[in-house]
Amino acid sequence: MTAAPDYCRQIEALRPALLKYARLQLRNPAWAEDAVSDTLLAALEKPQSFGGGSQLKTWMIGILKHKLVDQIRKNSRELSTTATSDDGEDLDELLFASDGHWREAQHDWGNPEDVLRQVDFMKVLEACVEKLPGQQGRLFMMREWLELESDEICKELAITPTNLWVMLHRARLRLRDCLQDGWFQAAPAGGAS
Amino acid sequence: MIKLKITCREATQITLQAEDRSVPLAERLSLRLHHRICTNCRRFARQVQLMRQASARWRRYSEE
Repeated sequence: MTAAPDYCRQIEALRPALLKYARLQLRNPAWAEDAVSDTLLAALEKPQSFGGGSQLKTWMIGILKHKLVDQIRKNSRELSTTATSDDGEDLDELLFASDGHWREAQHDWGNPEDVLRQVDFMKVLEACVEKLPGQQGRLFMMREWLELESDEICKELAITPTNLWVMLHRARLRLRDCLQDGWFQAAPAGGAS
Repeated sequence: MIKLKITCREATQITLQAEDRSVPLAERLSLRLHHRICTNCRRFARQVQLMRQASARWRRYSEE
């Protein structure tokens, strides 16, 4: 079955969006290109499997997520060896005094509903995820965007649970810091004017 | 055994680990006790909760 030209155009138009998330997940431009090409090919080869009930983009992102897991598997050896090479600074040391107390008062981020319905917040969040150091970013994306369980991630990358928790701990602290600076400080308690 | 006094640093660690594994009851109780006396750690826990909700919203946003 050949795909209709209109369908091809719609698929191709989604390439930049797919590439953005592929890069965020893999942190490697070549692997990201491969995952996106595989996704577009799969969609072009089997247009009949798009039910039409859901949005085309929703369907394509679903395919992309599978292709990203394929890429992670294919490159797992390289991914597991980079496990702790790109940590960045240790935020714990900056946040806590030697007696284990916070160095500074923590901020009230306000009502989640008010914050999360703002599209601009999603853009700040994406920018903050992008800023995470490579391996922290990959693991965070695997956990939060691909929605893999911790033990699945450990298995795919052949890393220990402790290693995973340390990296996710750092990633989440860093993300929190970035959101504080990039959103809550700029537009306190409930958001942009 | 329940550790009655944990530091903010330890409380933060438990709060973050709870995102990625099931935290033992003793640690959860220590955290709850700590939250009763510590505004900063309560706020931190709410920030983490907001981040979890933000991830869910972001997944939907990425498909729209």
